[in-house]
Amino acid sequence: MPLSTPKNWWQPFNKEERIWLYISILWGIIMFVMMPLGHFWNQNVSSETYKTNPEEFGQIAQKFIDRYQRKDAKGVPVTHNGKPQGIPLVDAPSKETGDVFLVAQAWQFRPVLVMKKNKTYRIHMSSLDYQHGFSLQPQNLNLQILPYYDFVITMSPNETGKFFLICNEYCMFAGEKFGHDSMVGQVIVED
Amino acid sequence: MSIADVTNQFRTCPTTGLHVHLPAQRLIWINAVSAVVFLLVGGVMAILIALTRWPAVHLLPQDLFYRFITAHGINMLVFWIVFFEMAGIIFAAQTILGSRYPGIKFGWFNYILMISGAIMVEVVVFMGKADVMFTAYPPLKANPVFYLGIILFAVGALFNCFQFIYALIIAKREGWHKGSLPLFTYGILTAVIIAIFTLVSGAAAFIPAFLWSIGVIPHIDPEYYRIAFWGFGHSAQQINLAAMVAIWYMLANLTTGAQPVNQRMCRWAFVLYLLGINLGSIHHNLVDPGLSATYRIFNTSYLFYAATIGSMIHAFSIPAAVETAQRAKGFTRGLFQWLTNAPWGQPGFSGLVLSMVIFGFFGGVTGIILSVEQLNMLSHNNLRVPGHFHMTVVGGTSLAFMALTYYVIPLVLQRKLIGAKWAKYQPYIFAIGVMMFSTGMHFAGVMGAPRRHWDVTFQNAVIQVPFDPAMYTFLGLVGVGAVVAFTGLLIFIGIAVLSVFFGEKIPSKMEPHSPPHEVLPAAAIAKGTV
Repeated sequence: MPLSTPKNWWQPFNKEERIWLYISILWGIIMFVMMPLGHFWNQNVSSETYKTNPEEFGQIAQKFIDRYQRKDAKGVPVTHNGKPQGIPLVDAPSKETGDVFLVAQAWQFRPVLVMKKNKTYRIHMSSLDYQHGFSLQPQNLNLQILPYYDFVITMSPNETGKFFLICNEYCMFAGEKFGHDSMVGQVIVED
Repeated sequence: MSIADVTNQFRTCPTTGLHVHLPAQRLIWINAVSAVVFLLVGGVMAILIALTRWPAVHLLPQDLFYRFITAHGINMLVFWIVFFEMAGIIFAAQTILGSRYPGIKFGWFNYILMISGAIMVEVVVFMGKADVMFTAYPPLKANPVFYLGIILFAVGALFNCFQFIYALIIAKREGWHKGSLPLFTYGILTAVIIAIFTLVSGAAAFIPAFLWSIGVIPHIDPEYYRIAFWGFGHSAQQINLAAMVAIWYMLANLTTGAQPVNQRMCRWAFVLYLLGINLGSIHHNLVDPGLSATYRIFNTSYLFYAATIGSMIHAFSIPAAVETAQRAKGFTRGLFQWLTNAPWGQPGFSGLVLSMVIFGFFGGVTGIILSVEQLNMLSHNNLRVPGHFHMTVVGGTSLAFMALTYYVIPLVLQRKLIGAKWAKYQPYIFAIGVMMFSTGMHFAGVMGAPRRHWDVTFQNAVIQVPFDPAMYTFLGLVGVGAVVAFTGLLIFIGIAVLSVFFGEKIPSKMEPHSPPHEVLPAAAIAKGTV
């Protein structure tokens, strides 16, 4: 009885119990093996990380934006909505020509990245203030962005279109207008 | 205090024949009642949050939404569950063993530590000085009182754990109990051991956070905090797991007379929990920067799924025990007569079965999928995660605790249940509601809905996000399910509070009880002075 002192509980396992145990152990091993196999199929989350800090990363990212921001015919820098205070639109350099920098800062992802289909990009991500979430929609691909950590992911877009970044790590709010729930970015993939 | 003084403080339960130490009974009472009060606070927060996530209702303004999510998480995951477990460990060490409970004053001191910590946290959260969520990830900074409150609460709980172990030693030394621990107490001991290393990990997260909030240390590494916090946050759920499984065995026994067929197997399963479970915590950090794939994979597999094998064993051995007991009663026709003739009208039995199915099947399966290193990218921080843990913590643990409460009230707290008829239906109503809103959360998350998010329609955002319209249907299901579950919760709280305060008192004989076994030599010397 579970509530009273057992006299002799050290009994051998019987046949049904042993079969169940073997099934459970085998199932545990199968589930485990699925994960190391990911090494061979290149399915793992990136683990390339560097130390940084908000000032340093902010400066590097600003230099990156200044250098690669798209200019229109008159030489005016282009933003996501065409207004001067909009988020800068950047023609991202592919892996061969340079690195890409993405800043998460309450409550914005900066810049809007324009990529080419089937090219490979190295994207450095870090936060300038709180922890943020990188959630690429509609693919629903989610990563964590932390301040003081430069997290590098390598990405090759294989379809064109507009994709969205939403922040899915709570990062405060201010008033009714601004906050974690209004933090949205964009990635555009062109041919 | 000598043993002779203690012997007169016992009563004998007329139903079970258990010897209850009255000062310990008062400790159980205060901890259990506090648990239910915090459950009510957390429940009110829950319904308000759920009605906000239902886009058609969108009840709360932005600031209250985040404030109430913080309050909901802390009230439910910490205050309700831990206070209930404190009542449970005293019951397991004192009532089940028929021992005296040593250090009653120390128990009250611990309770005061915990309740003052809890009240500090409540006040500071509702004042809006700590809108940092349950996780409080730095650099989000709360008022120092918030961290201090959690630390006080945790210290009280830790002291209670040490007192539990001391009580087991006393039970042996003074001859109150002899031989192996009963399975229920063994399971609770597993929970207490997990609790001790969990709370130490919590200290490693919250003490630096407190020092940082008062300006003693300038900076906390965010990834350090995340790892230390989840060493506390996830292992805390494994305390609940071990306690809940112990309660499952007890409920099976109370409602059908089930005896574990082979206790060797059950006890090994608890040992597997101890060995493997603290390795689960990294599955909260699977997509964080800074960790290698090898570390993530080894850690998140619960030591090659050892803890999962433990759960598989319980999933076999509890139904086997019930079936054996039912067949022994003569329900032997066909494969399932033992099940169709089970006491489905008893909240203890329906609560047990529903809790096992929701926790073990739905919660377990979703959890294992989420914690696969590669698949976690598709679910990290979206609503699929709360979908999973509401199945485990609400549909599993909370439901099992509720089902047990219907027995604790008459047996330990000596009150007749008011509204026993309602109690029959309560587990079903609650379970249906939990399944509805958890399923809604799960599929909304699969379609990309983030967790902890006030407005998935993004009316204030500079860029609009076109989600699959089906997502809004599932968010609606979250709202409707929450209303059903909240109804079940209110029925439970109504029955519990009315019975404890206004229920008819069940008379119980005061009977002197002294240690039935011989005293161990070491204690014989100290006899009369311990």
